[in-house]
Amino acid sequence: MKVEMLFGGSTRFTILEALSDAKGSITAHQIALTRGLDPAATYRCLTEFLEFGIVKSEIRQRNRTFYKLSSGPGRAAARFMHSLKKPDNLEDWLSPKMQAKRMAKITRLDKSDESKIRDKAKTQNIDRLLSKRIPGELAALVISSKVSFGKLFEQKGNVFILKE
Amino acid sequence: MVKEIRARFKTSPEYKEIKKERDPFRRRIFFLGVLTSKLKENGTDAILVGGEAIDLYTAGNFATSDIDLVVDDKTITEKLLNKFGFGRQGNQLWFNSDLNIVLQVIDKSYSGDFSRLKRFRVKSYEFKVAAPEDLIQNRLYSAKFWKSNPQRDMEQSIALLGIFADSIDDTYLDKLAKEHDIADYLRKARRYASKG
Repeated sequence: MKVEMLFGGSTRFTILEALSDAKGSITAHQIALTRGLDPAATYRCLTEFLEFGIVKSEIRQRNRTFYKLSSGPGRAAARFMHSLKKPDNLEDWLSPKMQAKRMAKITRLDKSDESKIRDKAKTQNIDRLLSKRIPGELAALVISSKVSFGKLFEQKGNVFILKE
Repeated sequence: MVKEIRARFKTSPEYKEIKKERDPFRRRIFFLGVLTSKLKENGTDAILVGGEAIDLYTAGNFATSDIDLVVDDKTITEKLLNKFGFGRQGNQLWFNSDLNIVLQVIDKSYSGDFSRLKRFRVKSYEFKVAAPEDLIQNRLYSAKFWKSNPQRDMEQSIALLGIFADSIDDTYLDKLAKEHDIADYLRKARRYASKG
């Protein structure tokens, strides 16, 4: 059995590893990006870790949520994970094959990658997708973006100049 | 040798100015300006695409943490990133912990319309950014066909449609939507954008 399975899968294992390696708090997106994980899966796992008290979260910098291991259960889980790791894991991790695998997982618009294509039979309800925010929140964000963009940049023809 | 070049760059006025910028959004823009102008000096063209381009157009309200840069010479770009103190995190991913900037080097050809590229100027530097229409098409395509984050993709499309309502080329966007089979998603996005 692979060590990762003890943590319920490689995503949980990798996230725990990323949090353990991080010098400070990091966002779900940073973990996903640097470890080659699916952003949505990363966010889901972090939410689970939060519920179990393995991580702590705080909202900083433009409403982004930053995560770090909790001092009790979090550190204990990281110690347990490190004790199970084989010495050659780092070599595996840095191998071109593993790097390619991680890069392939990063969600990008690579139209040649068929595995990333959504099942066409499963239609999405866009209204439901867009109802996750409180009413008016998205419209307010759009207006705020428009105002902020106008304050930050001055347009001269096709050029946007950042104001000092 | 590389250490010497890195040290020289770290003491350069450009680096000091980038580092001085406390706001991560402005720092990324400034860095992009410096990087693309250095690339240009080396005969390499670069175009900002993806999340950071949307971040730019939405003034940081739909934030991302990495910069996707389409370049026509990956080797020169990577050499330059190395000099700028970036470390390789994956085949195309580069990270500078000092500046806290993550950059993805994309060496595929730009899929949008070159004639519609926008230019952004910061101090004396200038860089090219994908047009809002091409970014909207890209996000709607992602929302409809890719296993990514459809809520984020739809919201970013709606934001761009709302912000650039007065200048978006609807004929071009309709043409793109037809070509990419996303006319239904564009209709929905437009409806939400007009509500604002």
